[in-house]
Amino acid sequence: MRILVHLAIGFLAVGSQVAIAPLLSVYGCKPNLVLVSLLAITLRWPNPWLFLYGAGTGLALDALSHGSLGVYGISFLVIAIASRMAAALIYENNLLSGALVVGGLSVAEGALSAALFELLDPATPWWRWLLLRVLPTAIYNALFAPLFLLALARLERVLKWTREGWGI
Amino acid sequence: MLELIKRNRTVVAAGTVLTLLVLLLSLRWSNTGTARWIDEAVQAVVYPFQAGFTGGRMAVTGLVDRYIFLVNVKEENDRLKLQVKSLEEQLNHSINSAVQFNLLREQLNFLEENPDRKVFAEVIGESADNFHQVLLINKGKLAGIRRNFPVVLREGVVGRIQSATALQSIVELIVDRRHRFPVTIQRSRERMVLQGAGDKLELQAPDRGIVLGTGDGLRLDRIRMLADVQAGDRVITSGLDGIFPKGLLIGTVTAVSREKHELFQTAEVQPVVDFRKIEGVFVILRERRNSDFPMFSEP
Repeated sequence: MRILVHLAIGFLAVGSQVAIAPLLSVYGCKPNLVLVSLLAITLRWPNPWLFLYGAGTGLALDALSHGSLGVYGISFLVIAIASRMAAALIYENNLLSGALVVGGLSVAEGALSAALFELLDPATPWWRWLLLRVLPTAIYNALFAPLFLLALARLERVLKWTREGWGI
Repeated sequence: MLELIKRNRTVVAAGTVLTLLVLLLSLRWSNTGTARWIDEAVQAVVYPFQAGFTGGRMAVTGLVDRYIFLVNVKEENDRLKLQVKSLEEQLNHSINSAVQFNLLREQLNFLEENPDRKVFAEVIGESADNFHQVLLINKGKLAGIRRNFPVVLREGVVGRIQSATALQSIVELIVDRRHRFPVTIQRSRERMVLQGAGDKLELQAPDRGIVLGTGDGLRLDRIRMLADVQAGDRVITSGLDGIFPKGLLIGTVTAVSREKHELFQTAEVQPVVDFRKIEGVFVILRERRNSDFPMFSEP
């Protein structure tokens, strides 16, 4: 059941990234709803196997962005692990801390992706991308984080899930 | 050993997945036929989802745009935009025609300059991230489209085909950081024509450079120091890359940078195409040998 819910959320997130994110684009910068959903899930339900979910959604984003297959797969996997560690440090019901963690980890994920792109093509302007793409996207992601965290909390109530169910 | 793996199975699994992803990435690095095959296979799987999601969004936004808000204003705006595009194309066409006429190259370039066969395709998607500037179009190999075919609009160059499957293709926009191709400054071609008309023997070659996508715009690089490039100059394709036909408009120079210690000048170029508003494009169907062996633009 929980795996199905994860798959459904992942599918919705990827669909939203294709269909809704372009509508939210400001000066060519759109939020990364797949990353926000991944971070929200790992913060709310920090299961040790969520890195698989991260790698899967990352690969989906790789396929949909038509770049180099594997870049987002790697960065999302690493960030899922980092996010699980961060989840132990924050109080999950505090939306502000959740938003800050999502913003911070979005910067880390963007920096890692840009570094991998730079490895593939040394002409990639890493600093320029960090300032003009990664930081605005991270702020955007942080603004969306409370919505996702609230939605997950609501879903928990509807499905009558307990945190013990995750073995936490 | 087995016990150790069992105890640390999440770490082992994470390491295995990471290794597989690095292997996948290294395939792309090698840029072999296998990598392209994987790209095309992934594209074929992703296509129905991307087209479906985007189609749904466009249906909803189209409904809101056309029937709820300001129907007449939108239609008039569209008509005026089309008119501006048409005039822009006519201006570009006139200048090019004059240059070509004076150089008496029409006969020699007949096959290349003769209007190529074009296929119209609708844009059905875009890159899901902020780092890649690509468009998904609804025509593919069945319509004769192949890798590296040029993609244009009436007002100028849009990009080239990055990959194509049977029913759809990916267009890599010229502003994508992976895109680079040789160009010519249009004014320098005119100057060459004027000098030629004056019976001067020492004809000056047209000023050339290489346009690089920066992700959010275009940079003109490798312009020789003595070249006379100014803000407002129109940048056109040189045809040297074997991908784009000669004389297609790319954009206008907005700023030129000349540093004494540098070997070349650089310039900022404002693309003539507004990439955020593209709804349909023309793909020029060229000879297969041109697309298979381009001299430039290979990422």
